[in-house]
Amino acid sequence: MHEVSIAEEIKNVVIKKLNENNGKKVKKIKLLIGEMTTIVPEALQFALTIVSENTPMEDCKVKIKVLKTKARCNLCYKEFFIRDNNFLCSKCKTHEIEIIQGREMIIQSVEMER
Amino acid sequence: MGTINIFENIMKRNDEIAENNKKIINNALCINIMSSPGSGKTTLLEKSLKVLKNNYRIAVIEGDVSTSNDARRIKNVGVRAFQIKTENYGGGCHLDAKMINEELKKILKKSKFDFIVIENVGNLICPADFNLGEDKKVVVLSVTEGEDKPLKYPLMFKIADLLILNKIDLLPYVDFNIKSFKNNIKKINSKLKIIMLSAKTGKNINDWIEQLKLWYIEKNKF
Ligand SMILES: Nc1nc2c(ncn2[C@@H]2O[C@H](COP(=O)(O)OP(=O)(O)OP(=O)(O)O)[C@@H](O)[C@H]2O)c(=O)[nH]1
Ligand SMILES: [Mg+2]
Ligand SMILES: [Zn+2]
Ligand SMILES: [Zn+2]
Repeated sequence: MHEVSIAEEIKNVVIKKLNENNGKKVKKIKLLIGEMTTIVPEALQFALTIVSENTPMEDCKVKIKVLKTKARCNLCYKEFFIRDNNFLCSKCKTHEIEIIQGREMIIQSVEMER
Repeated sequence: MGTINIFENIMKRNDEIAENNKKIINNALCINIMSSPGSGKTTLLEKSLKVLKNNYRIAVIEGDVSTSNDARRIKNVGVRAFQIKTENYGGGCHLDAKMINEELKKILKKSKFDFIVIENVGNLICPADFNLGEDKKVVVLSVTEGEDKPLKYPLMFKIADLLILNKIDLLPYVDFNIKSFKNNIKKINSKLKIIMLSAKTGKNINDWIEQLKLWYIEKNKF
């Protein structure tokens, strides 16, 4: 449900960029969404088609790349992906780790017709 | 045709407003309480703020989709309460920084407070993504919800500063294994502090009240 408010926010940013660049129509948007967010990519896709209706974003392609949750150990510096909610170092089993990827919600790029 | 790289954080606007909220909140201690619907957030506040209000100035911001019941309950125990109806913001399974900002400006225009308590919309999922400018995030889980909730909704438990396990008076009647619950939490957030209490009977509720005071002192010690 909250994907609609996220989609609205994306629309606001994209339309602003379109106007700043004297674009006419948005062709494609690329998004980076971390696995450790509450966004469901399919739901976001759907929400974006809804909020884009009757705007220069209508019918634009949306590409969502999901970034897996990744952490770094503060003791042995190993970098690893988090699986099955195991937030501990895969090598030395400590909990002293830092999340370095997975919390992103980023508009990477916008392709437009000028 | 042209492609422009933006690399803009979708949460940027929310986070900027949250930063502004922090400034407005100033020395008050602001907590954001989150849980599934019905875990006992309002009951916990009724019971604890009734005590805390004798020594502190408290404001409660209630987030609900369309009703004002929770704000009324808080007012009934003699604490100032303000209702945000998220449907007025076009929907709303969560509170965002903007909604809090508008409310804070109204609330703090005339009065000063020591505690600003936000009860988020009953939802264990998306409130986790929205910073409000709070000092501490508190998640409430009740024993009737099952010990595997943290594994199903890890983000909420990962970002929380404190976990309240509520309704422990019901432990004899439900299948809730405290040991595996603690193991599940340990996997996700090994440093997460847990207070087990019953908002209904008042058991251990003092631990929660003491925690609130401690946070307040920590924030204001300099
Ligand atoms: N047995 C028992 N019941 C409780 C306890 N705390 C709350 N309840 C009951 O649980 C129900 C929901 O409590 P609320 O305090 O309204 O829960 P809430 O989290 O504020 O609910 P929403 O705001 O709707 O998300 C009520 O019927 C409470 O009486 C408790 O410690 N033990
Ligand atoms: Mg409530
Ligand atoms: Zn390690
Ligand atoms: Zn939401």
